[in-house]
Amino acid sequence: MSQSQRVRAQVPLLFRCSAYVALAFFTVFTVFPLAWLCYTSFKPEQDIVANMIAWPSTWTFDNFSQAWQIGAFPHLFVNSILYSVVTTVVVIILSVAAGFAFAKIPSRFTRFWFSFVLVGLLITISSSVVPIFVAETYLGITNTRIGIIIPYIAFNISFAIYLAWSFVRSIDNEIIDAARIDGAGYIQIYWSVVLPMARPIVTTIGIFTFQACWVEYVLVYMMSSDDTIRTVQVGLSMLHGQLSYNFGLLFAAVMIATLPMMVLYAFFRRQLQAGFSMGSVKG
Amino acid sequence: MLSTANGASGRRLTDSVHSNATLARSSRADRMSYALLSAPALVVYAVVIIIPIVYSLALSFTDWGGSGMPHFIGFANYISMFRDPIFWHSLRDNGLVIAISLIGQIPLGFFLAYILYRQLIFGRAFFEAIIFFPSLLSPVAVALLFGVVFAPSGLIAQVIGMILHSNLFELDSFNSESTAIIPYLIVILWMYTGLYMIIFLASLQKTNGEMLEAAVLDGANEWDLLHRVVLPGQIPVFMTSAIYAIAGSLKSFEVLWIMTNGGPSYYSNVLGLYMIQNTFTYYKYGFGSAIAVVLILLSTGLILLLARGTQYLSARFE
Repeated sequence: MSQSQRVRAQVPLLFRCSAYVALAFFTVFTVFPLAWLCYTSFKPEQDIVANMIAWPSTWTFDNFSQAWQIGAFPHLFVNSILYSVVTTVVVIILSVAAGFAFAKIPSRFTRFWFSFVLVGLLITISSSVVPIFVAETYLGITNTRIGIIIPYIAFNISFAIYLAWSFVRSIDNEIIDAARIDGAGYIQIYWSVVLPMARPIVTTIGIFTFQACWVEYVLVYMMSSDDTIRTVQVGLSMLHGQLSYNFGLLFAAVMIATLPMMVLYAFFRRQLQAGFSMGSVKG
Repeated sequence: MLSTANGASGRRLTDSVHSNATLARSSRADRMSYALLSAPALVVYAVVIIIPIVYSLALSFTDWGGSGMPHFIGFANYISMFRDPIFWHSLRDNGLVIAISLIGQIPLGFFLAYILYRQLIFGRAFFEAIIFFPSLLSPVAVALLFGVVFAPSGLIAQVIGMILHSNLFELDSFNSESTAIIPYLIVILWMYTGLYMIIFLASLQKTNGEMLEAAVLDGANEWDLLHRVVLPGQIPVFMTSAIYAIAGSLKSFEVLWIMTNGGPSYYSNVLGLYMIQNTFTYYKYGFGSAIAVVLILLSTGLILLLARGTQYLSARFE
């Protein structure tokens, strides 16, 4: 970290107050809904009916066990994990390859193809779900797992290539030249030099892609008419109608669906921050 | 545009020397490897993203309803869209979503980042972790949570009821045409301010400490540091953030879809929802495609305008 944080300046009273107020207010604003979500999911139903805001009089796991059954979560989790993991692995392999080619193999095509890829940063699943649905209907792959995984790969690849490119670019050319002099081709270098060296960015790309797949909702909802290929998010959205009267259960379901993100956050917050701060398009 | 968030770490001189040296011995095998390495990613990307968009452009001039042959109907879809009051209301709501991003999330995100970066408050890691967390949540989870928060007898109604000592209080302020979008604006402020805070924090880490030190020696206080020393350096990050905000705001509708489904009536509709409803509820694929085209044109147009504006401004002030 730079020393700039340690440079102390006089802080005017008004500035200090507004800083405290802004941070305090925003922290409460952020935490309160989450805390409420959390403790309500452990609250018995009669408690919720009696008082929506109050702390639970007794803590219970009933909401969780019921929500787990009503939501039919086990196979939804299998699907979510399958789509997220397959997408993540493929995105890593393809994006580091392309990022390496763009960064280190001289070619007059790079400029064009790289800008072509960057256009994808501005396109999200939700804005092109209609064209994709039409194309998949035409190909007859709606309501199939492959019809979900392929768009997932495509929508995550632009940003992943950008991340991989900016990392591989900083690898010392002498390392690659040395391998070339030893007679290695670029593909060999990719597999045995670049991919192992790129581990930090591979982690970032991986975590970031996994997160994006896990929370994705629109595409699966549109493409799946069959319950067996749906994901946690779609299952969760369908509980909305069923459980809106009993939000102890509803919130337990939300907690179940969110738990993987909490675990991911606890272990990989730095990588997620790095990914997000390098620019991703969100609301 | 993208390198701004990444810091302007320009290509090193060695890079160009290197490419000249290897270009000379660039062989057929190398070109082959280049193609093999880059093609898989490019093919998936082009097939899934670019081709459907082009196809959708074509479809937007037809009356296709999901089956049979599409008939060419010229600009009829676009004309009926521009005559539809729901389109204009959705556009207005989208405008408000963009506005709250530009005047709410981004400045607030910067200010919070500045406070944490300068360690004006103890416990930086804690605040960083808490405020960033909501942007990782799934839109479905957020929509379900805030659906209950803003429900007529939901959390906010209960809190107000408690204050007013009436447990029959019902929250109906968000049922009118002009106010129905407000809960969503609050939700995106809650969800994404932390994201901009993280973007600014990453960029603030690269601020030159000596500049701050020199300013302090000259008698600058914290406020002077913020708006004279730090802020000017962050203008490119503001611009990139604004681009992300515009692109993201025009396209995302997932939270709103589950939270209100555009209702009551169409009062909280945005263009993305309008597109989904026409396509998947009314099976007007041609019309839905036309909305998709308008969405893409709008966001590209706004982003180009913003990029141009930035160029113009920086040319004037340098």
